[in-house]
Amino acid sequence: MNAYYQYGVILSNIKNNFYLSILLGFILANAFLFQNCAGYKSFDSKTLSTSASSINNPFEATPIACKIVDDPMRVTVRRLNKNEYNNTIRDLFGIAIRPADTFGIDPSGLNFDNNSDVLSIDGILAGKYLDASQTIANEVFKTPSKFMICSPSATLSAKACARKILGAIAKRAYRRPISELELVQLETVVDVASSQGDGFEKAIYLGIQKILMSPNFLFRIEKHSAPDNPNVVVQINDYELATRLSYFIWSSMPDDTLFALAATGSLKNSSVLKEQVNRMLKDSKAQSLVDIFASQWLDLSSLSTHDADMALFPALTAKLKDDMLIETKSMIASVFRGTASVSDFVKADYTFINENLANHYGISAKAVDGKTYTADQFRKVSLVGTERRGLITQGSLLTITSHANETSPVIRGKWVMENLMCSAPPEPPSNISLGNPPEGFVGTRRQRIEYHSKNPTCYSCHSVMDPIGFSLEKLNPIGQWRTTLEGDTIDDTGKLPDGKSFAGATGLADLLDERPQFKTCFSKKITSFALGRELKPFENCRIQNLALANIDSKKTFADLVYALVTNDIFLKQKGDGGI
Amino acid sequence: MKKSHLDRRTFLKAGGAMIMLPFLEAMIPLRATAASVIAGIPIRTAFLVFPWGSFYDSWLPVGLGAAYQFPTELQGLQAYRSDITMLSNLTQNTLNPDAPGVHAREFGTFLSCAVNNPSLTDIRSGISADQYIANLVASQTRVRSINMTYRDHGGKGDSVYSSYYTKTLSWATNTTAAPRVNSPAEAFDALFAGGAVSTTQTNAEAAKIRAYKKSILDSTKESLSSLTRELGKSDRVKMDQYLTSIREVEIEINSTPLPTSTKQCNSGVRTDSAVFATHTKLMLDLMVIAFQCDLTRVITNRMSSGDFSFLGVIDNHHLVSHYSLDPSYAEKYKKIIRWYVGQYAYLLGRMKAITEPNGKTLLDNSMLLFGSGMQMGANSHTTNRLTLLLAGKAGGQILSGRAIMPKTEVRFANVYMAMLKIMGYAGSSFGNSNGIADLA
Repeated sequence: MNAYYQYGVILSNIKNNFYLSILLGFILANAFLFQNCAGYKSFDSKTLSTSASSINNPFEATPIACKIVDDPMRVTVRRLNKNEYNNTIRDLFGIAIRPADTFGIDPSGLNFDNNSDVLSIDGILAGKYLDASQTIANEVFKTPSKFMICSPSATLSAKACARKILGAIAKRAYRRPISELELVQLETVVDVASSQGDGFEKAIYLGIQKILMSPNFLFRIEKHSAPDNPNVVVQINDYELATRLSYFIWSSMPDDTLFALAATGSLKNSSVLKEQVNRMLKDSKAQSLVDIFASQWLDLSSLSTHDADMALFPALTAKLKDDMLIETKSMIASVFRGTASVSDFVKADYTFINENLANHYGISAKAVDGKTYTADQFRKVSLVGTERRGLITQGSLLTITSHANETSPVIRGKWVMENLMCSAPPEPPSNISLGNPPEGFVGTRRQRIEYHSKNPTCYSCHSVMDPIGFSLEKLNPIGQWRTTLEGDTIDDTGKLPDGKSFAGATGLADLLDERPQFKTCFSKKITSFALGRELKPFENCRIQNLALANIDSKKTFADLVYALVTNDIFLKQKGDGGI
Repeated sequence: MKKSHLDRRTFLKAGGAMIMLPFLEAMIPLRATAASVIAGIPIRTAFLVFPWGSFYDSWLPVGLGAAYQFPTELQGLQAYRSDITMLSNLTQNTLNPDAPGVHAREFGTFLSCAVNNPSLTDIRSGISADQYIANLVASQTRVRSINMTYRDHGGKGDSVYSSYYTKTLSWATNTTAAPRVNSPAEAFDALFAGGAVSTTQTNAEAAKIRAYKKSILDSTKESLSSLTRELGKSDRVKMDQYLTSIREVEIEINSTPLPTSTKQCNSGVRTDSAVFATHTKLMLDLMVIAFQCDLTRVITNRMSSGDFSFLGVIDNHHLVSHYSLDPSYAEKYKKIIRWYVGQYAYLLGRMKAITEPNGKTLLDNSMLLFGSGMQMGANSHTTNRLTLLLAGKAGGQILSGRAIMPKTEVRFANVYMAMLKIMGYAGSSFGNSNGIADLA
C-alpha cells in the first residue's frame, strides 16, 4: 500500500492524461514489488525528479500539490461478511443469535475484512448459509411471530397472505422495493409446502429460508444503467445510499428511518443526510466503527494473543490487557461519537483509564470532570505533565509493537509508518548482511541498532523508521514509563532526513499532528472501509484533499464522515470494464 | 533397487533444463503401470505444510541413499526412517524469488507451482497438485478432497499479496481455493455431512427435508440467473461463484444417503478446539479417519501456528524464524520445528498402526508429504535449498527409506509430477515442472 500511495502522489503530479497515469501507476507499482530499502531512493530518476523528495522522505512536511482525477471507480457486489451477516439478522428479525459465527473466516484485503473483491464464496460456505437459514427460521418461529401479519381466511387466500408476509420481509432483507415477479415467486412456497402435506406456517418458514439464500440478501447489489460500460458514471439511488451508509456506520442493514427517507427520495437532501449521519454516529450500533473498523485498522485483536515474557513482565495479566483495550476503544469512541478532532488520535493530552491502568502507567486517575468514580470505572483523565500523547502511547499499542522481552524501536517505527502514515517500509532484502556491530563493540542498545542502520542499503528506510521508534523508547514493552535501559540513560531524541529534530513521544505527537501524513492516512483507511474496496493510486489526491479539508481542531469525525458520504467516490459508480 | 532405466542422477543433474519428452516415460516408476488403486486398496495422498520456514542446515540427511540417517532435528522421525523418502536441495525459487510477499507466496505457490499474482484483489495462482489428484480419483469417494486451513490469527497479506494466498494450499481453479475447513468441527462436517443424516430420522422425513432444500436452492438459482443479466462483468463473476457453490451443495445433498443405509464407518465424535495444539491434533486424527474409511483420498493440511508457550517459547513463531535478530531465537525456533516434526510423526504412527485388507499398513498405502515452502530467515526467508519429507510407499510404488540430494536444485513440481504419475496422470507437465523426480 505504501508503494501505491507514494506513486499515486507522483502520478497526481504529472499533469497528464488519465490513462497514461494509470498505465504508469501500474508499471511503477509492479516495479516496486522488487524494490528493497535502496529502492525507496532508487526511484528518484531524472524523469520523475520533481517528486523524488516524496519518495526519499515519507514524512514530507507539506502536502503534495495535485489534481483530482474525476473518476469515482466502482465497487464489486459486496457479500455480507460474518459481522455484517450477524448484525443484519439481528436487525432484520430482532433476534439475538449469531449464526455466522460458524462460518469460515473471511479473507481480508489489505486492511479490512469487508473487501468486496476478496470476499469469495465456496460450496462449504453456501452449505453453511443453508444451515443458517434453517437456524434463523427456527428462531423466528420460536415465539408467536410478529411477522405473521395476516392469516389465510375466506377473504384472504393463502398465497395472498404469504405475499404480504414474505413481501414485507424481503423488502427489508433485499434493502429495496420488491418486484411483482419476485412476489409471485415467493408466494409459490404455499404450493411447495402443500405438496409435501404441510400447512401455511411451514410455507412461510420455507419462504424465509428462500429469502435468506437469495443473492439479493447475501450480496449488496447496486444496479447500473450500463453495467459493462466504464464510461458511464451514475449516481447510486436512495436505497443504495441508505445501504452504503448503514453498512459503513453500523455494519448492518438500514433501519426504518433510512428506509422511509429512501422511499420518499429525500435522503440525498444535504440537510437530511447531515442529520442522518449525526444520528447514525450517535446510535449504539455505531460501536461497530470502533469494534470492527478501528480494531482492524490498529490490529487491536492481536493484543489478546500477544505474549510478554511473564518472568520479566508479570503485570501483563489478562485483566490488564482488557483494561488496555477498553482505554483504546474508549478514546476512539469518544472521537467517533463526540466533538473531538480526529487529530486527537495522535496528539490527545487526555486518555480514558481506571485505577488499575493509572497505577500501571504511574499517572493520576483524577477525572477531568471532577466526579468520583469507583476503582474499576473508566474516566477521562488529563495527560498534561506526562510524556504521553495520543493512541501510540497507550498500553495496548505499545505492547503489541514490542517483543516478548524488550521493545523494538524498529517494529514501533514500522508500525507507526504503516498504520498512521500509510507508508510501510518494505521487507529488508535477503541478500544483505545485517551489519551487526563487530565483536567487542561498546555502546548502548540504540548505538548498536544505529550501527546497523548506517549500512547504506538499510539507511533509506531506517532513517525514518528508527527515529520514530527511538522517540517511544521511554515506554517499555508493556507501556510503562522508564528512563534507563541496560543501565544507560535512554536517548529518545531523533532527527528526520529533512533535518527536523524531535524528542520523545510528545515530539512524535506534534510531528504527526503538524504533517499531513496521518490525516491523509486515516482518511484513506476510513474511505477504504466505507467503500469496501482498496483505493487506486490515482485516488490519493482526492483522499488527501478530503483529509486536509476535514480534519483539524475545528472539525469533528462527523464532519469527515459527512464529507466522505457526499463525495463522488461514495455517491457515484461507474460501469465495469475499465481499469 | 536395480534399474535398467534412465539413471536417477543423470536425470536429476539435468536440473533446470527442460528434459526431452520421450525420456519422461522412462522416469516413471518401475512398476509396469502406475496405479491409484492396487488390488482394491486405494492410494491416499496428503500434503502437510507448516508456516514460516524450515531450518535448512539442520534438515539435511546424514549420508545419502538407503544408508541415510536423520539429522538431530529430525530424530523424532527415527521410528519411520524406512517409511520416509527424504528429498533435499529442492526449490520454489523460480516462482517465489526473494522479494516482498514471500510469507504469502510460500503457501500460494506450494502446491500450485504457479506464479502468484501480486495483488490484494486479483487472486491468481494455479490448480494445485492435490486437485489434479482429486480430478483423477474423487469419483470413487464421498468427499472429493479436504483442504484444511488454520484458525484465523488476524492474518493480513504480505506486501501486495492478499491474505488469501496464505489461507489455502489447495486451488480448485487458478483463482479459487478448494473449499476450506478451518476447524476440526468444519472438517468433521465436511467428511460426515454435518450429521445431516440423523439415525433417528425416517426415510420419509429425510426425503421431505431434501425436497425442501432443493426447492430453496432452485429459487436461489432462479434469482441468480435473472440478476446475472443486469450486472457488469466483475459482479457476474461473483454471481457465478455463488452459482457454482450452490451446485456443490446440491451435489452434496443428492449424494448423502437417505437413512436406510447402514453406517460404514465410525465417525467418532464431532469435536472442536480453538486451542492451537489441540486443533492440530484433532485435524490429524480426522485425516486418519478420512483415509481409513476411504471418505476421501486427498487432503491438504496448512498447519496452524499459535501460542507456543507450552514449549516454553513465548516469542512469536514468525519472529524467532528470523533467527539473526536475537541469539536466543535459533534454539527457540528449533523447538517449534521439532514440535511440527512431532506432529508428523504422530500422524505416521497412527497410520502405521492400521492394517489394511491387503496386509499392508495404511501408511504403506499412502503418500504423505511434509515440509515448509521456505527457509527460516536470517533476516528474510529464501525459497531454495529446501527439504521435503515423503512418507509411505504408495502401495509399493515408492522405494522409501532413502535420502535423495541432487547436485542441482529440483523443483517441487517435479516431485509432484512423480506423485501424479503414480495416481495415473497422463499429462506431460504440471505447474512449472521440468522433469519428474525419481521416487521408485
